Amino acid sequence: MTDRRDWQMAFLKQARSDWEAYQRTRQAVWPHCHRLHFLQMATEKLGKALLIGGHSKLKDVTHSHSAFVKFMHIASNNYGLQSKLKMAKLQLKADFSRLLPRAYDIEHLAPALAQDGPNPEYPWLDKSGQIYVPVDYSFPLTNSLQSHQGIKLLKYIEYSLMAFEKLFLS
Amino acid sequence: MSQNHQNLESVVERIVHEHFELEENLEKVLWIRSRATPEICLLEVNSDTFATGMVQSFYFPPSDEVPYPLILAEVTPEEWQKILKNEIELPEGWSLENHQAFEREAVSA
Repeated sequence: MTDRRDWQMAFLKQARSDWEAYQRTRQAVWPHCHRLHFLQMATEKLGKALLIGGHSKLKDVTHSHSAFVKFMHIASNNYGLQSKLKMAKLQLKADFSRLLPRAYDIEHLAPALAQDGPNPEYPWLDKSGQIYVPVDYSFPLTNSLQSHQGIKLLKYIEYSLMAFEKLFLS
Repeated sequence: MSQNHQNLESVVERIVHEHFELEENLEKVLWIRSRATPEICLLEVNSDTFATGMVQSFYFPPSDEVPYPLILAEVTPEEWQKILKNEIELPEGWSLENHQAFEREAVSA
């Protein structure tokens, strides 16, 4: 029987690859939606890599798109992260708490959670009856990630992906 | 000086001004100008960020607000001192040989 640790490592590996794709999609011709899609996928799998190590049913974790915000809640209490970043417990919690709205926005890029609203994969119909196509849409999240809090969230995501084994598996 | 160059400079100055206005803990912004490409590379020294011992940079494609590719990185003041001592490397292609520094006092004046 496949061990949960194997599943964790599998999701982590794919999350790292999605993150690399997010970071390498640099040509200006790439519409914003594709980069955000990679970011959403990387964070969802990062979340699943952590959540699979818990007590939830494996299927419940792998079949859900709601993983990144849960990851943020769990990681905000992670002693390894506090220790590595030399931060007090309350400081890390406060930091993560401030980042939750943007984490929520990233998580809700998944079409299943976007509820027929803006998402980077499929066209949607807005309330006025206009059809929007992801490649033509200016996602507010792209600008929001350029802020100090946005950069901080991206730093946490990258650091968690890089040091996952030491932070969450040891 | 070409018009494009002027535009690039004014865009950088606007971003820097906005960031100083929004972030009270932002101490300094360095515009890394060593690249041949029209990317805007900004290294921000902010006491509110956390130290990882490396410079993590993030790319943002051109948009209506910033019509140039933008690469942002944030470090702590302590990490900045280590960068000056070559104890922390800058991202590939970045160099302090040709940069412009913006200090809060000068920008706010």
